[in-house]
Amino acid sequence: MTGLNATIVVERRAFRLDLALAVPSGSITAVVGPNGSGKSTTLRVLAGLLRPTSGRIELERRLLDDVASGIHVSASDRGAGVVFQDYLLFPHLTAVENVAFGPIAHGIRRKVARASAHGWLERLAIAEFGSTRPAHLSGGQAQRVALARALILEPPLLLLDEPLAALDASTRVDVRAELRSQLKTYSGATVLVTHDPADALALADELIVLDRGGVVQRGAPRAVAASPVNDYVAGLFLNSGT
Amino acid sequence: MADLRERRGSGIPGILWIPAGIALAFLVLPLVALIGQVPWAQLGQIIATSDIGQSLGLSLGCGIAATAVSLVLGVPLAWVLARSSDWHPAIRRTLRALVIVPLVLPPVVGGVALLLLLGRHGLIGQFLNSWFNIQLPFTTPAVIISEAFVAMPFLVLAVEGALRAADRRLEDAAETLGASRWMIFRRVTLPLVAPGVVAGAVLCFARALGEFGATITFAGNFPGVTRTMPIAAYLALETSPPAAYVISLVLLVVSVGVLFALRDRWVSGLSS
Repeated sequence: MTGLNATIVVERRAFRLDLALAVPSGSITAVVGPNGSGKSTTLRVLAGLLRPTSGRIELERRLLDDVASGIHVSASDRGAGVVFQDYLLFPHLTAVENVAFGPIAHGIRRKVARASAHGWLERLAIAEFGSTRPAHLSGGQAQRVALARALILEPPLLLLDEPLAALDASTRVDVRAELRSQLKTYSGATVLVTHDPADALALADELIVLDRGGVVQRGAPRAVAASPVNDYVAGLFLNSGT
Repeated sequence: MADLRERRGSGIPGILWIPAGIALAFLVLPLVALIGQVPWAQLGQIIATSDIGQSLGLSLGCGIAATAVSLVLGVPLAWVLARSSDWHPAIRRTLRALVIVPLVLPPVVGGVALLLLLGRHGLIGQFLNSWFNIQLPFTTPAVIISEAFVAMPFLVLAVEGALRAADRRLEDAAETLGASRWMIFRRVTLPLVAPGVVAGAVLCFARALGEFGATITFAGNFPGVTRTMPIAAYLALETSPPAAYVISLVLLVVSVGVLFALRDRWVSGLSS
C-alpha cells in the first residue's frame, strides 16, 4: 500500500505510547484523545522531531524511521508538511514570505519561491493578505497561510495538529468546512490530531481513539460514534464542542 | 475601573514618602549640580581648545569596537547558555556564574587580571611578546579589551533572556520545512531575538563608554591612544575643572541618548 505505514512506540517514565497507523494516500486518519493521550507525541514522531523508542515508519515505500536498524531521517529531510497547533507562522515574515520559506530552504530562488507562494495564497483565496504579517491575520486566515506553507512543498504526508483549536466556536464550523474542501484536492496521506471528535467526523476516513498512549477504538468515524466500545469513547462524543 | 482605582488610593504608608523623596533627590541632585556648573558661555571655546574631541573620538571608537567584539563572541555564548538545558545543572550554573563575574567584579580588579593574563609577563602575554612581538598593555586594543571584558556580560544576559523567551516551536516549524540549522539561526531565531540583541548591544555600549577602572589599569592614560572620556574627565578635574564639567556633560548627554534608545520599541525583548 502506498501512503503512510507506521508502528510507533515512545516510552517516557510513566508513559508509553504504542500505536500502529496505516494511512493510504489521499485519505485522512484522525487521532483523537484528550491532553496527555499521546496524540501530540505521535505527530512529533511522524514529523521527525522526536525519535521513537522503537518502531518503524515508512512513507511511500521510503523508510523514515527504523529503530532496529538505526535509521532516522531528520525532520528537515523527510518532507512531511505540518500545520502546527497555533499555526506557528513566523511572526517577522509576511504571509507570502511564510509560505515561500519552504521552497527557499530547498534552494529555490527567492523570486520563484515568492511567485509560487503567491499562487498558493490565491488558491486558498487569501492572496489579498500576502503582505500581511501573522499578527494581523484572523484565526481562519492564519490557518490557511499555515496550510499553504505546508502544502507548497507538495509533501507526501500532511500532519495537522489541532488545526481548529485556535479558533473561536463561531468560526470553527466555517473553517472546518473550508479545510474539508481544501483537503479534497490533496493527494497525499493526512494525519489529523485533535481533541474534538467533531473534527474527525467532518474530515476523516478513519478515526483512532487514543487514551494514555494506547488505542481504545478505531474505525470509520460514524461507526465509532454509533457504537463506542466503552464509556470513555462515548463520553468523547458527548462532550464534543460542536 | 478608573474610579475604583481612585477610591482605593495609593496605599503608600506616610512614613515611606520621606526616604523615597530623599532617594530621588540623591539620584537627581548631583546631575542638577553638574548641569548648573557647566560653563555654558565658554562651551564652544573649551571644546575647541582642549582635546575633548580626541577623547570623545577614541571613546566612541573603542566603545563601538568593544560592542562589536561582544556581539561576535557574546551572541554565540548566550546561545550556548540558553540552549544548554540538557547539560548537568552544576555545569550550567558554573557557566552562568563565570559570565556574571565581570559584572560584579570591581573593574580595577578586572584590569589587574587582564594585565596578569595579557601583560608582557602574563600567562598569554609572554608568548604574544616573545613569539609575535605583540605588547597589548597601554595600547588602544587594550582599551577595547578592557571595555569588552566589563561590558560583554550585559549583552550575553540580554540575548540569553530573549532566547529563553523565544518560542522554540517556530524552529521546529522551520525544520519541517527543510531548513538547515544555519538557515533556522539566520532566518528564524536571530530575527526573533533581534530586539534583545539590540537592547543588549546598547547596554553594552553604554557600559563600555563609561569604563574607567579596568581601562586605566590595563591600558593606562596616553592622550590619543588610551585616554578615553571618563579618564580625561578625571584628569581635567585637577588641571582645568571647567573642561571636566564639559566632558561630564557630553557623557551625560550620550547616556541619556542611550536611555532614549532603550525606551524605544526595539527594546521590548529586554523585558520579556
